[in-house]
Amino acid sequence: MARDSGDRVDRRELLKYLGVGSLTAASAGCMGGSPPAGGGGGENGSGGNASGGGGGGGDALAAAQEVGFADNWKDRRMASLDEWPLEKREQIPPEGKRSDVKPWRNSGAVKSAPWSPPDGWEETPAGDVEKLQILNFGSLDYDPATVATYAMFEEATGIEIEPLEIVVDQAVSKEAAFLSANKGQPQGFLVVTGQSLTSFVQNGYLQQVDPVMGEEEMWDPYLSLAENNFQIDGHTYLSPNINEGSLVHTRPKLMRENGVDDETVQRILDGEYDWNDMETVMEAFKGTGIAGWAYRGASLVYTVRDWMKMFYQAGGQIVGDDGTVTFNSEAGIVALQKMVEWREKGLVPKEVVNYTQGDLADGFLSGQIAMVPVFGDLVPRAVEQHGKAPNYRPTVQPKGGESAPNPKRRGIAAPTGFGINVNADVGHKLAAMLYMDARWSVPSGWFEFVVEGNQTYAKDVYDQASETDAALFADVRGRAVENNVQEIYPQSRTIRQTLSEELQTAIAGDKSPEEALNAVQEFADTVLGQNE
Amino acid sequence: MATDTQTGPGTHGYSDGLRGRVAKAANEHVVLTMMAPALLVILAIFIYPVTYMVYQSFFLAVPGVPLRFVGLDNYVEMLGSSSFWSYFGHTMFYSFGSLFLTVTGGLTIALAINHVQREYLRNTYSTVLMFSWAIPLAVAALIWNWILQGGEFGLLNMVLTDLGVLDTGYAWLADQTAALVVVTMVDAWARFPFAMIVFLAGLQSIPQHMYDAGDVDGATTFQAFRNITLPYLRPYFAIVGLITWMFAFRAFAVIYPMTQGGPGTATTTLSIYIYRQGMVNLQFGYASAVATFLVGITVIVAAFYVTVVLERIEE
Repeated sequence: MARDSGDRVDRRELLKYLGVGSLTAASAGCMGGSPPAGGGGGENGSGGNASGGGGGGGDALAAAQEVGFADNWKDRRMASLDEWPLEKREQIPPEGKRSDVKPWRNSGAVKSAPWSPPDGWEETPAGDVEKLQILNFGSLDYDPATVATYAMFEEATGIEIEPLEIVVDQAVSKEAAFLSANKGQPQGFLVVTGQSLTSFVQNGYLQQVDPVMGEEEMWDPYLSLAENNFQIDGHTYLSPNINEGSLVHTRPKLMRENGVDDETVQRILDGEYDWNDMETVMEAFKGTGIAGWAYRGASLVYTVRDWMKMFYQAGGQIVGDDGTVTFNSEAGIVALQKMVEWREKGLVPKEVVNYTQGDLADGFLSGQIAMVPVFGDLVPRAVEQHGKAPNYRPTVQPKGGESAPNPKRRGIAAPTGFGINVNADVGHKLAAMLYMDARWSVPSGWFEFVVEGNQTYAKDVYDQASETDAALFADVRGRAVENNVQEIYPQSRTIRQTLSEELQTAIAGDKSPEEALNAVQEFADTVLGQNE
Repeated sequence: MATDTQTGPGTHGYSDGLRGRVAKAANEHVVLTMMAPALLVILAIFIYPVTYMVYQSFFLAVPGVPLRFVGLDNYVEMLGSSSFWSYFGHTMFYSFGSLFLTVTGGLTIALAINHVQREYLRNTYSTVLMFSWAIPLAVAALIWNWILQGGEFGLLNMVLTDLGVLDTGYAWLADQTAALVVVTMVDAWARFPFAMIVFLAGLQSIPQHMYDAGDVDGATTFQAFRNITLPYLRPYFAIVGLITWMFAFRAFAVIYPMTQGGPGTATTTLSIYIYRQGMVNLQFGYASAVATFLVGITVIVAAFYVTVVLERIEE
């Protein structure tokens, strides 16, 4: 479709353009696995812009080196239960007031939070900043932990955060609009790492923030997922925002009542189960009007997620060691084949082909499904609805079964990170890096995990929450998050659309799993210029 | 004594003199001025967006990439896509299926209500049946989604299994073949009251003496229906047909809440395809090309109806 007034451009070029364009929603980046060209990453001070690559902001990087993020970082970011006692942590604003910064700033939890910015930051251009504008996905009514971190940051620095709440569905296109227009505001914004990071880096929209995590050992207290998700080609671009990931929610008593043997139930609860055990559960519920298991077969986002969980459990890997992106591997076909087979045999409801985002959670809460692979934010509602054990318990993800080429206990992560607008001025960039520093802190991770129910990257938080029983099922959720993976590859959004459509077609029975994934592979090869 | 030039605009005629021509121009100007607000609104919410859509269909329009002229390539891509023709087929089935069910259902019920002797009962029946037209399409879709839910919790399945028609609940919307038929029927359910009310108005306008004459000639009920009722209702058929088909051809609100275009792509129509290409894949140029095709077909059919069908009916 793409052409210069008259000369037709072949489909391959068009698809590449579409992919790059979808940077809005972000995909793109690093075509063919090569390092980003142009921009180059800021250390040379060249900056970066939409012409492609790497993120820049050399002045800001040089200034950031002076701030000393790596100095004294453990004392500033980490906190033990002794240093920040549970009774202080629990002094949070009452329900209904948690979306407002002021109650948080006055709360005991924030006032006692041990995070502090690096010494001497006031002497840098950040010292002149009064306000920092941050684009948030959706309303802060649903992000109390983010508000708590805002409050902690404001309390420690005196820099006011001005949130810009954007309807989630429009957020990515708004980001693309202001970034491609080289606007300096908002200075900070959220990035869906699996979809947008590579394209934003490729287009030079993101400020490199290497000094914030200046020493290798600074990554140690966090899940390895963090380093994988926030770095491209060895450079850091993001700090944590929200990290969500796979968990399996179960109804142990219901399973036993419907004839699932004790050993199988116990293996599931212990997190030692695989697809074969899941099939035992599905068989037990067959014909009862309750489903043992289900997945979502009609959603652009969630069908891909549900397949990817099984893909990784079968031992799959999208990005090969040489950077080649592959979907039609044996693991991919086996995973999809299982989904189709379960539906054809009536082991999952026939209507999974109509299931979208909320259907699994609704089905589980209403007692129509005994086990569901839904993220951890279902835990509080499930406890409220069913109570704790023996009626309800979350567990870790299963391993692939006998048919899987390389069974592994795996799930997927769906994190968003916080990034800095490369067009912002140096002072605001430094202020935003200070906010990143706060985001890496244990208090911020605690607010995410305990107050809001999200996952966190800080390993200490899982231990502390488990030790104090401050969060529901902290131990299981901590173990589950260790199994979660996310692979970042170019053009992911564009490819995911095709992947979703092909998966849905195969699940509905219109195509064989092999045909569907071959079609995805052909599309991916074209978009990424593979096999040229 | 009054003259033509003294009568002023808005009365009967002008002289051929200069004053008359000025008065006429002023009169026309006033008319235009009075119409301007409405014209501006139409310009802003219809003509500009449609023109821009057609314009955009000639470009590679993807956020983050500079707008790039590509001529007819979006159309070539569209017409060469087997998916597009598959979705076009679904759209034709859906729109004509809905049209057929709406017209037959609306006419049948209108005939039945027209035979009700008591006026208050006739009005009550009409009003009750109008309820499904008053419900927003998306709400109607969600209601039917619940009724048609698979397993034992769907209302229809409960009724059919209690009656012994089915042994176990059937997943109506999960069946590749049934899903398109079912969403078409729901669309028709939501639209038939409009047809009913139009046909009812048509039936009530047929002079009773025509039927009396038919009785005298010994016409059967069917003959009276074929030779009196149907010819009188012809203009009403044309109006109901055009409006129902046009809305069904562009329908989105029924299908999306019920099936999201699935299972697989079994109920994906052009409207859903446009939504996915434009709002999900952000390929605005390509989506505009498909939208232009959709609007073009609608306009051609409407123009054919107005210029040919309605004129023939008038003859």
